Amino acid sequence: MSKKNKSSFSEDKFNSSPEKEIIPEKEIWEYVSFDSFKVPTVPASSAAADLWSSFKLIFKREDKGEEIYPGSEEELYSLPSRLEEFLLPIIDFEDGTKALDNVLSNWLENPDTGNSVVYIVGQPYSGNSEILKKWAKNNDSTIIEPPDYDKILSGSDKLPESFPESGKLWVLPNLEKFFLRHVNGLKIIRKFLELAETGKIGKGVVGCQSFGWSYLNLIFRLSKKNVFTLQAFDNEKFIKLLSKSVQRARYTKFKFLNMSNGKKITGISSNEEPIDPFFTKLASFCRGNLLMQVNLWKEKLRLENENLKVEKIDLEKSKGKIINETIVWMSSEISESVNLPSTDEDLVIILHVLLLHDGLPEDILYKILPFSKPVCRSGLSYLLGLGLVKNLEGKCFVVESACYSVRKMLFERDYLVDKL
Amino acid sequence: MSIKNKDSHLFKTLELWDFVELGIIIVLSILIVAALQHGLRWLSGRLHGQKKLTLLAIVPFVRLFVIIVSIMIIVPLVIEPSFQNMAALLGTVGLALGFALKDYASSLIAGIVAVGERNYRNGDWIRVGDIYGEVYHVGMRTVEVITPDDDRVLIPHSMLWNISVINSNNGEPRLLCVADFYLEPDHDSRKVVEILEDLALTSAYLYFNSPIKVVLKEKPWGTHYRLKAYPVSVTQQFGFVSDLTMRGKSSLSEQGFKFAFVSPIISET
Repeated sequence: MSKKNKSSFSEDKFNSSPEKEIIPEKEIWEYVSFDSFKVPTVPASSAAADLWSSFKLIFKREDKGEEIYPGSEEELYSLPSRLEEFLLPIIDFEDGTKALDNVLSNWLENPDTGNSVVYIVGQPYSGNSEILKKWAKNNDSTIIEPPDYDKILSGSDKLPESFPESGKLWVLPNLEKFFLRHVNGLKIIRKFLELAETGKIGKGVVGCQSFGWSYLNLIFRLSKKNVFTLQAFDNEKFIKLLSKSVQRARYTKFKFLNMSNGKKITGISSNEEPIDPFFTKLASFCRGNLLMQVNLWKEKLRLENENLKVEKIDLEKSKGKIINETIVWMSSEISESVNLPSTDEDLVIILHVLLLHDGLPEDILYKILPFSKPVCRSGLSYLLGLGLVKNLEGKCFVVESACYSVRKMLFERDYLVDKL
Repeated sequence: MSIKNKDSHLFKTLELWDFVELGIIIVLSILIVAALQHGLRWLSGRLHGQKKLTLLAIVPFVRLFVIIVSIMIIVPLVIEPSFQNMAALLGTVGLALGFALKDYASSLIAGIVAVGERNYRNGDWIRVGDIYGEVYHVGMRTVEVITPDDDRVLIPHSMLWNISVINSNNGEPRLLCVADFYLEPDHDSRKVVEILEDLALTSAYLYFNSPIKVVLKEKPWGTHYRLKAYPVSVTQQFGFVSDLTMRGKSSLSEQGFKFAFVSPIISET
C-alpha cells in the first residue's frame, strides 16, 4: 500500500506540468540597456592558454601558420558565394528592428517619459545604423543625414535642415559622423546635443558607433538613462543561427573538421553535442559582434576541390535522401595580434582616428591628423599594405577582420576604446 | 700557533684553478648582467605603458643583485673569512675609497641610494640642472640620460646629494604637458578658454582619464594662457605640445584673437 502510494506520488510529481517552470528561450536579437551589455568570455583555462600564446607572440619574429592539414593545403579553397547561405549564419536586420521595437515601445507610447532622445549604441560593423534606418522606415520617421565633413570643419553649428516639424519622430543613425576630432569639429554636435537633450527638436532616436560614443560621452557626459545596445551574440546564439543555415541543405550533410587535428567541430548539427570551444573563443574575440563573427567564420572555412562542385540545386532538391556528405575544413587559429613597428605611434593614431569616426575620407583624415600630409599618406599606405585598412571610393576604414585586434592594441596602449 | 698563522694571512694562497674559478665567476657575472640588461630592455620594447616602465625599472635592481651575489662568492675564495681579516679588509678599502676615490665612492653609494629610493628609473623623464631627458640606463656610478636632441648625457649619481632632481613622470607612463599662448590683453577670456579646451579634447594624443586645465595669468604686456593636459604616452610629449601649439595658433587667429608681442627688453625683465 505504502509502496503504491509512493509510486503514484512520484508519478504525479513527474507529470505535474502546471508547476513546471518554463524557461523562456533566449532571444537571439535583444536590445538591452548599455550597462547590461555582457562581453562573451572564454573559460579561465582557455584564457590562460591565450595568455600563454600572447606571451609567446612577444618572442615571435614573424607570424607563421602552425596548422597541419592532413592532406595538401593547396587542395583547399575558400568558400564559394553560392554555398554561403548554407554555411554562414544568415543575418536578417528585420529581426534587429523587431528587437528595437520591443525595447522602444514603452518610450514611444508614453510621451511623458521625460526623455526626448533615446540612444542606440552599436559596435563597429554591427549593422547598428542599418537597423536604425530600417526601423525608421518601418515607423515612418525622418532619417537625419549627417552634415558634410567640410561643413563640420568650417565650425558651423547650423543643424541639417532635414529635422521634421515638431511632433514627428526623427532618427539619426550615425552620430559619430556629426563631429570630427578637430577644434572646429565639436561645434555642431554640441549644438545638436543641447537641442536634442532639452527636447527642442522633438522626439528622436540617435544611433552611434561605440568608439564615437565613448569619445562623446567623455566630452559631453551624456545621459546614461535611455541608452541601449544590442546584446552580445554569444556562442549559443551564433550556433543557433549557424545551425539554421546548415539545416537548410536538407539533402546534404556538412561535416566540419578542424584543420589542425582533423577532429570534428561539434555543436553545429546536433543540439546533443557540446558547443566546440572554438565558438566560445570566436564570440569572445569578436566581443559578441555577430557580423564580425560571421566574417571571421567565413574566413576560416575551406573546401576541397571536389566539394566546390556541389551545386545549390543538390543541396535543396534531391530525391529525398542525403546525396553526399560534404567535408568543410576549418582553421581554428584566431590571430589576435597586430604587428606594427613598436616605435611607430603615428600608425596607431591613424587607426584610432579611423575607428573613432567609423571611417573617414582621405582628404579629411589629412586635415585632422597631427602630422604632415606626406607622413599621413605614407602611414596610410603602410596600413593598407598590412591589410589593416581598406580604401573604399576614397574613404578609409579599419577592415572588419582587424577591428578587434586593433581595439586590443589600442587598449594595451591606453588609447580611448569603446565599452562594448 | 696554527691559529696565529691562519689569522696572520689576509689573502688565501691562490692556485691556478682558483684564478680560473675567479675568472669564470667574474665573466659569468658580467655575461648575466649584460644578458639581463639587454633581454629586459628588448622585452620592454615590445610592451607599452606601465608594463614597459615597470620592466625597465627592474633592470638596476637585477644588476645590483647579481653584483652582490658575485662579491659574496668571490670574497671567501680570496680572503680567509675571519673577523680580523674582514675588519682589516674593510678598513683598507674604506681608507682607499675615503682618500683616493672619494668622488667615485660617493657616486657608487649615491647610485645604490638612487636604485633603492627609486629617485629615477629607466624610462623616467628627469631634469637635473639644465639637462632634461629620458633615463636610459641607471649605472653604478652614473645615470645615462638621452635628451630630446638625442644627446647622451652621463650624470654622476653623487649630484643627488646637493642638486634637486625633477622627475616628470615618476614611473608613470604619462606626464603633464603644457602649451603656452600669449595674447593681447583686450579679449574675451572665456572664449579663449573654450577654444583651448576643445583644442586639447580634439588632440589625437590626449589621454582622457586625466584632467585638462587652462590657467591664465595677466602680464603687463598681455595674457599668458597655459593649456595643461596629458598625452597617452610620455614619448608623445613633444608631438602633443607641438600639435596643441600649431592648432591653437591657427584656431585663435581664425577667431580674431591677436597674439601678444613682447619686446626683447620686456621679456628679459
